[in-house]
Amino acid sequence: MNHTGTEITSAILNLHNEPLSAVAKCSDRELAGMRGRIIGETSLTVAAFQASI
Amino acid sequence: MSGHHLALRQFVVKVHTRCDLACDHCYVYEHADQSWQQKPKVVPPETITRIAERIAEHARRRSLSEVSVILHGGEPLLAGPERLDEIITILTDQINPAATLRVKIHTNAVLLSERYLKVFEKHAVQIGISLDGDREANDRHRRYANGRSSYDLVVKSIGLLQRNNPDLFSGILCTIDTKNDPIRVYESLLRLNPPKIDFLLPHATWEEPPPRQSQTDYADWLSAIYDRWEKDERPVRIRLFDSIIRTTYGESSLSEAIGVEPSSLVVIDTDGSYEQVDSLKVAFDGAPATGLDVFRNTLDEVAGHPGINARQNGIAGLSAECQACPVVSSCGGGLYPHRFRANSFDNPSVYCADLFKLISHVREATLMQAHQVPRKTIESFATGFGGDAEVRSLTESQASIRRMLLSDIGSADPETLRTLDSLEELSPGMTDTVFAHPYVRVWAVDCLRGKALVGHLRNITAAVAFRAGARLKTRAEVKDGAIHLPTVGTLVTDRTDGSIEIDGGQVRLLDGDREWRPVRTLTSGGHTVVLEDADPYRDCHQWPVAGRLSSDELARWQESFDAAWRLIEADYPEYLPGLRAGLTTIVPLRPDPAGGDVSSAARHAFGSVAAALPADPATFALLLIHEFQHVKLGAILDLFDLYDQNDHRRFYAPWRPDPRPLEGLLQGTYAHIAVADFWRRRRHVEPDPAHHEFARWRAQTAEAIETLAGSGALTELGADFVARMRDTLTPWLAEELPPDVEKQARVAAEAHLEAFQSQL
Ligand code: SF4
Repeated sequence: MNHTGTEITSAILNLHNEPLSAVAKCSDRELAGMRGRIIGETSLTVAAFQASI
Repeated sequence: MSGHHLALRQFVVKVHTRCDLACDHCYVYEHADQSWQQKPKVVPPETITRIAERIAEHARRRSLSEVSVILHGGEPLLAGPERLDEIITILTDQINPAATLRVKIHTNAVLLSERYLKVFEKHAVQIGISLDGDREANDRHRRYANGRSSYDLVVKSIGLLQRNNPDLFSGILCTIDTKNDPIRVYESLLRLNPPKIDFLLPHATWEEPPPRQSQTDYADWLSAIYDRWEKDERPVRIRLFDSIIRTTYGESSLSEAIGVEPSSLVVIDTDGSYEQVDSLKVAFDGAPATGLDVFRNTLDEVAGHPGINARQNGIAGLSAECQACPVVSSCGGGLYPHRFRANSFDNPSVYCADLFKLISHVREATLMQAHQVPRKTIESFATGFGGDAEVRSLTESQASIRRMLLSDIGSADPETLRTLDSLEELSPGMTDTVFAHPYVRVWAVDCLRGKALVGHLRNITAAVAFRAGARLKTRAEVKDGAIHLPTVGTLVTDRTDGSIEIDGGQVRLLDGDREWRPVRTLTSGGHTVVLEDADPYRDCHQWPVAGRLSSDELARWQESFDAAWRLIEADYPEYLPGLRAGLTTIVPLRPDPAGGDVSSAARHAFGSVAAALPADPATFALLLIHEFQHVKLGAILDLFDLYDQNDHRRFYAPWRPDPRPLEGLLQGTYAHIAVADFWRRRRHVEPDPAHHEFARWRAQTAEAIETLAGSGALTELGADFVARMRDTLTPWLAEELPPDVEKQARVAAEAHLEAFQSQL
């Protein structure tokens, strides 16, 4: 993982070296955010509440 | 209209301060803050009415489309079903006209019965239930005061919920005790078939550290479950793991426990007092208090409270150690209260070693990584410029977006997808050259939205084969009497059957040749762009596109482009590297019948600028620079959230008669920095109109920058971006202009604002 405080993680998965058929096999879950962002209405989900009772 | 602070969207409303269990890990009763003893046991009707009014008022002021209320305690079921019905009815009646209200309840469920479920069904209340695992695990802490187990009652309640109202079951909250076997806990919870499990780290601070046997036993405990969960193919949503995966891919976290999203949550106690995040109770007595309450204070005031703000500053609000941490974008320093040490929250979490190990473990195990962009690159764009390397980094992420879109479409035509894969192997890079044509993405998005046909994927494949020098027979899409192969050319045909053959760089209709029109280009200074007057998907701009250009028209475009490019080289060299790296295509538009200049960029057409042939080279240069600003910012917005997408307010834009949404205002402002700069430098060549134009655009842009900065809707990155836009503009505001020009600009700006206000 090439992430440091000087780099910012984007919402776009790095697929540009992936064969198309490999991308097609990626689980929906991994691609869902990116897909929604580009095709559908984008949304910044605000962190949900955590509680312990 | 709005404060300068982010809106609050989640309201934890305490409805009962007591509990029927005496769990020894509970932060409400067993930790430092003991203020619960002075509060009313049950929230009184006049207090809940006031709470509801305050939330509705906030939702209206901030144009929120949705808010959520989490009924909490103590144990909220102790309020009884009738009282809960009354409370939720008051909340719904007041809030729903302002914003959609979602109600949740967090309960230990020992009292849950059909009577409660009827109330929750009536109001569609989502129910989260606390349970720590199997009987042995649960009984370690979750007992009645007399030591009796709560396990059987909770499991019975979950059974009742699953039978009667499975839709209302939101999930299980499980507090971790590493003495329990992780797999047994996971399996026992899974057997109850919850839609979601939330594993919670026990509340602790550096002053009161959690019980532990090793440096990282919480990470090891969770990693064991994570590995099993992956092996099981993720049979249930586990919020902590989902959040790590999402944040690894640059999305928001789903939990306050990790992530850098601004907190939008406030707690409201039974006496109507506002508190910060409830679990702060572990820190010190009175830690969550804000000194504000629903009777005297609005939620806008609460949003401005320093304790709430401290959790809204993203990475910048974290300790120096966290800011430099390689997993900070997922971790965010952990849950705020866990950072408390020696009267300060400016520390990593007491669970730092666990969080680091767990996040690294999950990141290594998930396959894909998101594009990482150097902070410097974004900063360079924010100043209004961005050179070769910066624009190339946008180009790479655009390639990923197109791959995702095309592979999605390919699932409807697997054979073509396979062909594309083999062409890619044969001639690496050719697919990307064709996919990079701006109108491939425009078509792909239309296609996935059901507005265009899948068939164009075969035209794209044919274009790749053509460029790769490969042989291919395919049935291409015929649209408007033509078969268009992006970046290659157009075959004009009167047939509807698009069966074609590609061989050795030639395209042929299988039933005989028709007119073949190769793609044409414009060139200047060693830079070539496609003159796109044929792609059927180019018509996505706000102005109508022109048809195929005659050779005379093409010559005029070439002449004008060449002159404009040379002008940019000579007078605007800072813009040149970015344009060279990113401008690939120009689409001719139809001239404006009223004689004005028309030009446009489209969000999905990265690399393309559309325009009617400008009257002179300077105008052409200006529109290239202006529209390319939109191209760059659109690609940045693909990568990052610069503002809250849920904020639907509209704002005054000094150059428009109508109020604009945030994206429109940001796009306009960003482009107009370049427009102001253009006229600023043009003053020595043509003082008239350059002085006037500069005066006007710098004033309007400066005003819009302040509107953006004060909107309260920018993300941390967005606020930084806008601040850098301001840094570019500010010195220009001090540049001298002839006094009458300044005055005219001011008068015009005032008149514009007045006209705008008079129509409100
Ligand atoms: S792992 Fe530790 S240092 Fe890194 S962000 Fe989390 S708490 Fe801070």
